[in-house]
Amino acid sequence: MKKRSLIIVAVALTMSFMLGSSLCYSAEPIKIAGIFALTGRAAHIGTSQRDAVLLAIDEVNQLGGINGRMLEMVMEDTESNPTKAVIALKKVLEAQDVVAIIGPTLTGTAMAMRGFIEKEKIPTFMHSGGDVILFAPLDKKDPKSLPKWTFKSPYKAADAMGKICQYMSKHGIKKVGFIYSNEGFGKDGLRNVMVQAPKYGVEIVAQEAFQPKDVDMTAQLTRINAKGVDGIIAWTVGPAMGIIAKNVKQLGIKAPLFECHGSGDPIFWKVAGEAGEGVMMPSTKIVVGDQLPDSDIQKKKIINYVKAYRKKFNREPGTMVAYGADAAFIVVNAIKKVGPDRAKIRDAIENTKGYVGLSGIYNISAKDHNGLSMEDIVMIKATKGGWKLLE
Amino acid sequence: MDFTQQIAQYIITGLTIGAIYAIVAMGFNIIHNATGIVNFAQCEFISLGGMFMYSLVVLFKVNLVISFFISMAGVALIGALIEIGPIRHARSKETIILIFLTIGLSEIIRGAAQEVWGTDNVGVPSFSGENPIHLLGGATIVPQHIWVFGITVLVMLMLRYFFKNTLMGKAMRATAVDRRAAALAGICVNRMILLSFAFSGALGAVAGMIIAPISTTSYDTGIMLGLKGFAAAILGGYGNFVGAILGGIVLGILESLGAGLISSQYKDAIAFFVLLMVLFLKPTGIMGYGESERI
Amino acid sequence: MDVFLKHKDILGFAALAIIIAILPVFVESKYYFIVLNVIGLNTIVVVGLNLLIGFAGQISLGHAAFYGLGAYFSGILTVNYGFPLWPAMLVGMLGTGMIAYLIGYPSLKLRGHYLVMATLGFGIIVNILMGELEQFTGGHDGLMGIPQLAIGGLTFDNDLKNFYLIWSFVFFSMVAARNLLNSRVGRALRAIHGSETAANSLGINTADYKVKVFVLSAMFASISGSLYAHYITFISPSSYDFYYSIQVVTMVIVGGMGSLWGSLFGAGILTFISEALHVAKQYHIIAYGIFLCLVLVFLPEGILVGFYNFFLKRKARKLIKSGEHLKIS
Repeated sequence: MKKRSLIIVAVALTMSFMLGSSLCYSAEPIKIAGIFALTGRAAHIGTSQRDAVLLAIDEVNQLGGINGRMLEMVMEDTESNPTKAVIALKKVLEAQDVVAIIGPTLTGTAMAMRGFIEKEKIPTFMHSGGDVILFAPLDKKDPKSLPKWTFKSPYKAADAMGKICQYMSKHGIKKVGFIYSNEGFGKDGLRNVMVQAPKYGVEIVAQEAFQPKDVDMTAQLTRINAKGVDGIIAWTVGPAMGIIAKNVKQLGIKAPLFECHGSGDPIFWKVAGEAGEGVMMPSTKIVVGDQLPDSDIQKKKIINYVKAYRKKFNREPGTMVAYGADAAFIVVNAIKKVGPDRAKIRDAIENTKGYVGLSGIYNISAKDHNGLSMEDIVMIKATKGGWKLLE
Repeated sequence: MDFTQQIAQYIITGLTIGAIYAIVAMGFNIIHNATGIVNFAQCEFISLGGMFMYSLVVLFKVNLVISFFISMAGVALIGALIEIGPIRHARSKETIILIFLTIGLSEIIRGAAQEVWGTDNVGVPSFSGENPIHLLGGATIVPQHIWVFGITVLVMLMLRYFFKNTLMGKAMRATAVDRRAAALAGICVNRMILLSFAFSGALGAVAGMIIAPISTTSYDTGIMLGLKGFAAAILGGYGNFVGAILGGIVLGILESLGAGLISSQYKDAIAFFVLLMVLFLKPTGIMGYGESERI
Repeated sequence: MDVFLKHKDILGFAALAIIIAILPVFVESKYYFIVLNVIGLNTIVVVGLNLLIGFAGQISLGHAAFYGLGAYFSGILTVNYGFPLWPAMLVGMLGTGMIAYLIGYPSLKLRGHYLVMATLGFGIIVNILMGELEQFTGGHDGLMGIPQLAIGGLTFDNDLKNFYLIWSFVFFSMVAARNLLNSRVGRALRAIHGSETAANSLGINTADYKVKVFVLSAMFASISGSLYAHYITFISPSSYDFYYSIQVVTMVIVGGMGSLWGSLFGAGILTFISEALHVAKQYHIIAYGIFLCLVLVFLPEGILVGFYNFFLKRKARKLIKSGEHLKIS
């Protein structure tokens, strides 16, 4: 009995080693690494980003690749963990023929990788949300030491917040309650709203936090409502988006609810159900492509991509899909222009001007490694299982 | 809303989540009483309950009531399989080994759940609609809250009846008190242990299902709920049924009042801190008697 | 401090030292280096934890907190207050030790599952504080720009140099642990693990010893945390959650509770497998879980010890079959 069990264990161990050594690389294709959170707490965002990027790469390959060379994605998993993210980065750097990196997902993993990316000099296009990725200096003592090799596709969270405040002030919403998820993203939102709201004459009269995995926010919403607010901003991604919407309906709160720029995603309807009706949020144009005026230069590209997306994945794309796709497209365009050379690609990316992407028009420069502005953001309203373009 | 109304709302929220903790705590207790270990796979039972419910009701459009019972049976089956397979055949019966075995098993279940359902959170329809109900005292709830309370009370009554008045229940209690004596009395100890895992699965599933319409569910919702349920079990006195209920309610209300009155950021820290204080002052929990050292 | 190393210990450590010294010749990729370095960091934590679990017989599901405390002490002192690097690590070790004492003293009076809950709760509280006390810790965004360690003019700024740094610490922590175990203290610990009542009756102050081992294991973890901080130069609360606490205890068990070399082996094989299984793509969680369950079901003494016992028993069985044992007269 013991002998048999020992053999089972030995076989299992051997098999896992054998699997590990059965990799094969070919030298022809151009390799881009994709480092995403495929497992762990950010898995639902990471997997959908990966899909968005893969679709973009596929499109390019369908059209013949770059000068006849196909693009190959080397996929790594950060497991939503900064240490693993750095390990994944080093693994990718081993393969000298990886010319650029796309990813990661979580801001924490991005920050851990950043120092090494800059040191190893490999162009990396991130789609993590945190503004701190581009704005925090590499060396605390030198505020001008901004990252040279790191780029980011999502527009600044500060701009998204500004868009909400702008909309609010246009529609007479003056006193606002702010409820946020008690982790990086939510707290970033708090910092942003404190800066943006006064700019548009909006006053934050109440702020409440909740834990990302909480199942009931009625306590916090009750407190906010008690201050007599005209509007509520909820800054979180994940199930809480829906729970807050439900709680608001449950408590009978009349003030309109605004959520963050990551909410424009089919998962919002899954978690909020009917309670999602009427919730407003900033978003990329990808979710309201067919509602755009024909004069909008982004319209054609968005409609084509969304069609391909629906066909391949059999679901609607969410707003964040745009970031992933744009990251991929910009990197690919750079490679098309200058070939598979890390330093040249970096320079080409940095000089991307007027690029019509799904998230907006990108004007990247040495000072601005993101390239989007508030103009690229739209306000949408969740209605009847879909979205309505507001402005 | 004035202050008393706010307090009323906090208490209602606290009782609701406390009811869930209580059910989960009971699941932990049943297995502890039968085997002396902590079954961390309980966390996955909760997630699975919610996800089965989602698949059956939302994807396959099966009737809600039927789905409820199928889901419960399904997770109970998984609990039983865990016991009859890896746990029973583990070469070592040392508590720490078995505890980590349940952790390893819960990883397998979680990994499989991620494969089947993906990582998204999904909503499950409320059992009877979502129209707010206004209570005396100023708090508002939705019908699902009533379901949570109702089913929790029902579960408690049924368990009490089972353990006190049925032969099998008494046999399980006997096994918990002294295995050898129970075996001598003709009780099949292995079967009792198998049953306790099945029960724990069913309880976890119920907890997951009744909270799912309120909180949405996903392949890993059960982890935090499970941990807090475990904390509730310990708080009330590990292994003690009345303790599970008390522990759940106290923990739920503490959390809710802590979030509402003190600070929503430190809510969890406050709850665990109070737990630690209770443990330091009364090391066997609120209702616990002496716990014989099993580790 | 007395040295209690036996002959076979010295041989083993000499072998380890030689392997550490020459391994880099065979390793070229940065990837393997960082994996080896992470294994080293984990080993230090696991060695300390094994003293607590394997020898004193107490479970802690909150050791990520001590690992994190070491990292944050070093990080905060050096980044925010410009502390010199090595003293910061020392302060971190002592500070963590003190916190471990404060929490250990009341906790270790608890029995069984209550102790598990107390350490679990403590770990969660510390993790929350890491994220909340933003002015000191940088909050959830983490603390970055942590300076790399240096001795004199030599800065540990690449994977190779950090390999030697980290593995030197591994070496010394294992020697220290072995020394402790061979001493009176070690024997007292084993007595406590065997039976606390009996140990008490022999005049061993069990409560005292348990707390001391807890503090010691916390300090091991703290040192490792500081090394991590200076190596990766960025830390954030998400690295010090209860998943990490579970991971290190798992390493203790898989390597073999109460086996010092098992600690090294457990940390090594689990870290390696967790990386190697990435070829299974998204199935790696399931694969890891299956591996873990297989070990726990079939080799609960730990892989190393389990195989060793297996071969011993096989040898014994062969002996008995051949009747050789009867020939001894």
